[in-house]
Amino acid sequence: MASDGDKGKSSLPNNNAKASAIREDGAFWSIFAYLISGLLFWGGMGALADHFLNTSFLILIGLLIGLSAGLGLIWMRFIRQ
Amino acid sequence: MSAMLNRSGAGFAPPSSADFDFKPIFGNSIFTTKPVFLCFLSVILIATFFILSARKAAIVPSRLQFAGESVYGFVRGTLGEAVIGPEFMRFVPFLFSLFTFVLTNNLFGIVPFLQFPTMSRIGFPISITLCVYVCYHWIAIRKHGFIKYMKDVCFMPGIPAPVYIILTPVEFATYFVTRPLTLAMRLFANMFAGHLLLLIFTLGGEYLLKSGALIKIFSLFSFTFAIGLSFFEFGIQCLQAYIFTLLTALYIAGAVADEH
Repeated sequence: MASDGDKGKSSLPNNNAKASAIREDGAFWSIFAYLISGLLFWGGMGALADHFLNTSFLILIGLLIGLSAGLGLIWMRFIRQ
Repeated sequence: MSAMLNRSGAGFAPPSSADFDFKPIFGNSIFTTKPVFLCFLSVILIATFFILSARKAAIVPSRLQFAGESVYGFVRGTLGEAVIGPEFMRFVPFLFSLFTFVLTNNLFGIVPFLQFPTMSRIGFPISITLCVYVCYHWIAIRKHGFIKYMKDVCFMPGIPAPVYIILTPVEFATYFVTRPLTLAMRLFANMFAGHLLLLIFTLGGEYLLKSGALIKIFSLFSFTFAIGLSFFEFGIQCLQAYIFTLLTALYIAGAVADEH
């Protein structure tokens, strides 16, 4: 998604500010999607592991891993550049 | 309000998801229900409007032509060129159809007598999301090739190899599951909740009107609220059509970009 940011060279010069504002609208939803998928995937893995190993703490670890993975991806895609 | 309703005795049946199920208008098919006809109606309306507005195209536009061109100009400028970049012209027809289709179907929610946003039946958002989903993956695969596209999606450059074990599934899930899921769910949930909200205030007002003499007065407030919320809904409906098309444009922009 970050690639959306830097490729749009508009033929109209004064369009760039507007374009980046519009992309920021969309960035919010991309960030949301990363968080959700991180939590869902790793939380789901944790829940599955819990189910088969008869434990109850792995879902928490899974959710934490998912959260950090999502936040990490957001940082790399949107902030680092 | 609930205490008042309880005192009046007979139960108030609140609107529920059952209010979104329609019986077939004729025959016994799921293809003859109200949402399906509204969907067809939207296509007819959109086509008629834009054919009429473009038929007598003149340098000094008529009011109708101006209205049609404003919508087109908005989609082309704000959602096409500003987001996708130099290659935007190929995708304007798709974005334009999406925007007008979603917008018209949403607006049906507050049009008197129609009064049902087609997009509050989950099947409609899912089917247009499928078009978007196939579209942006197809563009990317055709541009980069399948293997390079998968590599771009799953492996971000510049991070140590072991971290890929954690990040790659999340990236993959985002591109192939969460994005289409949120795209469809957001539109559906907004329209569903909006319609339910309007139902609560109109049905509540109707119920209050049938109740005792003093309580009748409160139905006025309920109906006033329903009218106020209709304007609020108008804003939401336009916004959701805009967001849906904007996100589609962003996904396409990501697909035509040279690298991720």
